[in-house]
Amino acid sequence: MIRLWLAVCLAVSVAWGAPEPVDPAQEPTPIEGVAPSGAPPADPAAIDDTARRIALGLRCPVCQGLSAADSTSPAAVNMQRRVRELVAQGYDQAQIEAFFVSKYGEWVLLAPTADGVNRIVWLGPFAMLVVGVGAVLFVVGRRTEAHAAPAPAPPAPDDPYAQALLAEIADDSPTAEDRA
Amino acid sequence: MTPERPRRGRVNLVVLGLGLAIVLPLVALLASGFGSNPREVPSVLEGAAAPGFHLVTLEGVEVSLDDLRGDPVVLNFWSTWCQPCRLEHPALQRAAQAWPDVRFLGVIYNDDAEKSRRYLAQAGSAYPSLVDPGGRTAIAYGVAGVPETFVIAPDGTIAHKHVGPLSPAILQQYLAPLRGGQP
Repeated sequence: MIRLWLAVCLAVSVAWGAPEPVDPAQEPTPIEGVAPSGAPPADPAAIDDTARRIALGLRCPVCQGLSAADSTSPAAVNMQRRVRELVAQGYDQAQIEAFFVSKYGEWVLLAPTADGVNRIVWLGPFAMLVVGVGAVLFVVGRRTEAHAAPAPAPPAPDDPYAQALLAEIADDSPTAEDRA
Repeated sequence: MTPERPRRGRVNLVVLGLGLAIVLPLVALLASGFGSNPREVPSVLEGAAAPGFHLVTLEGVEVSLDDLRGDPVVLNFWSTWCQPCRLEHPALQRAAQAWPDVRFLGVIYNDDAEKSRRYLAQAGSAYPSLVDPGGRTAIAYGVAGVPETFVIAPDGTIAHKHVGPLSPAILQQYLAPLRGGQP
């Protein structure tokens, strides 16, 4: 079973590394109603790099929290292929992301855009940090103040035994150093 | 002992209030999150124009969505390895036979054409299934898994996206308004 799995992994990694087989029956399909923003990268390796970078930001639809680039599921592989095909036609990252968002919704972006309600996600942690640091400084400041004020002398105990004990401790204090 | 009590009580109330202010929204957020299915992708396509396609059926016949304009279309993404698809298969077959005015189409999602042919020969095939090379049409429809079914109105807009297996009652409910009250 493990061997079979390794063989599958190897086959998949080889398939990923190898250049895409071109099927003449499959004309590269553009994005409906959108023209590519520029010329495609001249170098196939550059196309692969750009496609991988874009796929890293897209959610694999059948996985849990994995990017389309990190999954070998057929759905993710199809997305990788589609992204590469669009890069090769000259579409840029923003256009390709907009295309996938128009199909799957913003859900498909692994990192939500910093607009509207999403700002909470981006700014929330920093806001919590500021509030937390503020709370710590406030509490520490109050404690230091409380300590700085001279502590009121403890009331003398009524119990004669306790009085004797306190007197003894006071007497002993200097001799403790002598003993050492 | 006694003079300290009210002070400590007040501090605890403040801490309690702050704690609740932080924890309650989180609990509410998590509670709402637990209620929803993380695999269910919110559809952004309902109401939008159905993405066009030009695909070939398992029998080699070319089908274009533009040719079907004017009729309600049920576009069902399926595969043989998907158990819920097998579950809904009979309902779709019966519906296709009962409503000849509705164009039913299957789109094979990440599956082998030969396997699909064998399955349809055995399970019945009342309407054509399309081969989707590279899953382009699935991506164009934002398909995140199978089964997913799109009900396309005669004017070419997506009326419904259904995630999960269909039942005859759901199909009836989706299609009744598009079929103009025909039985």
